[in-house]
Amino acid sequence: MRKVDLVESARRSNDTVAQRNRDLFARHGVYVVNIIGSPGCGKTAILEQTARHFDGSFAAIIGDVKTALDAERLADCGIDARPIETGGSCHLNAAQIASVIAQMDLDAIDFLFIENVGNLVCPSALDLGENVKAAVLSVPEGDEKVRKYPALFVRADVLFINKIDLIEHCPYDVERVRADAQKARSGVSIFETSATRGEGFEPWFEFLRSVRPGGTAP
Amino acid sequence: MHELALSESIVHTAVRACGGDKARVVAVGIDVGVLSAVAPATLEFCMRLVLDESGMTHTQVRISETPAVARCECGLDFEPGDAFAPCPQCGGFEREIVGGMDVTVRYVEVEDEEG
Repeated sequence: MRKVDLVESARRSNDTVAQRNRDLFARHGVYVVNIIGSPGCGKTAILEQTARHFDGSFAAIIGDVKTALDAERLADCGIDARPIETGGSCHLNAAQIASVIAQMDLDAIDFLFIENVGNLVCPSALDLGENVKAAVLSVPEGDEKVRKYPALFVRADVLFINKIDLIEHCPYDVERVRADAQKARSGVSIFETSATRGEGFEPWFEFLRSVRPGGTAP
Repeated sequence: MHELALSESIVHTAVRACGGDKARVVAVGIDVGVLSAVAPATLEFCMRLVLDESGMTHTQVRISETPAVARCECGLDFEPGDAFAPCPQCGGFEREIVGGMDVTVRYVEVEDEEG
């Protein structure tokens, strides 16, 4: 009997495709954000606000287990929004992204937003070829979520604390969430927003302007 | 729950490591990082399922959980108790997680070819 030593990532097949996506995005000058959060935390609403008020050219890919409802919401805002219906899978993978971007005109956009399936666990570990992962939390979910889902928050470069307008109705310690997020990933950019009211978005738009291809990285 | 897809990938890697001869795969050693978003018990269950379905009931699964490793800007590599622990040397949080995020096929034990 012999032992064959390997150090091979079990995610290698996904990572290979993700790197191919990343190279393609870089060639076309597209900055890609992978948006991860629970069902109902406001991922689509954040993109609607961005679509309506951010002065930039972008497209979106929207993952859902079932229906294209969220993609239709974004299409109503006038942007190119492509649905991926996973049919049961709780996360998007790099191959699904590859097949959608092959149909898109990447030269026409500066940003691609990928809204992952609503889930704080599985999407965090799968690389899609993005520049950054953006986590979305909302106030009614409770202020302990960063502690409960560390695999996401050690990877996320951006954190939205959404539904901030509900803070007076919920026991929620924003400073605790901010401190936990900074401990999990030092330097994370945090935005407190109310997507339904359209409040708190200017710092996020400023972030996007700073990372826009040709802009200065934060 | 992506352990099933991971298991299929791991079994594929193991079979390839012994030249495609499934019968010779004695054991597969897998490292599961604590920050990999993969549950070791679920991975073990799924590995068994995929191996049995592939006619590899003889193949053992050995899973080890590997700790998170953080690299602090002060230069120290350390194993934080959790993702929120400060650097034990400087007390700071300016550190990056550099290990414990992946699932890795570490080794395959292969039965020698006869003759």
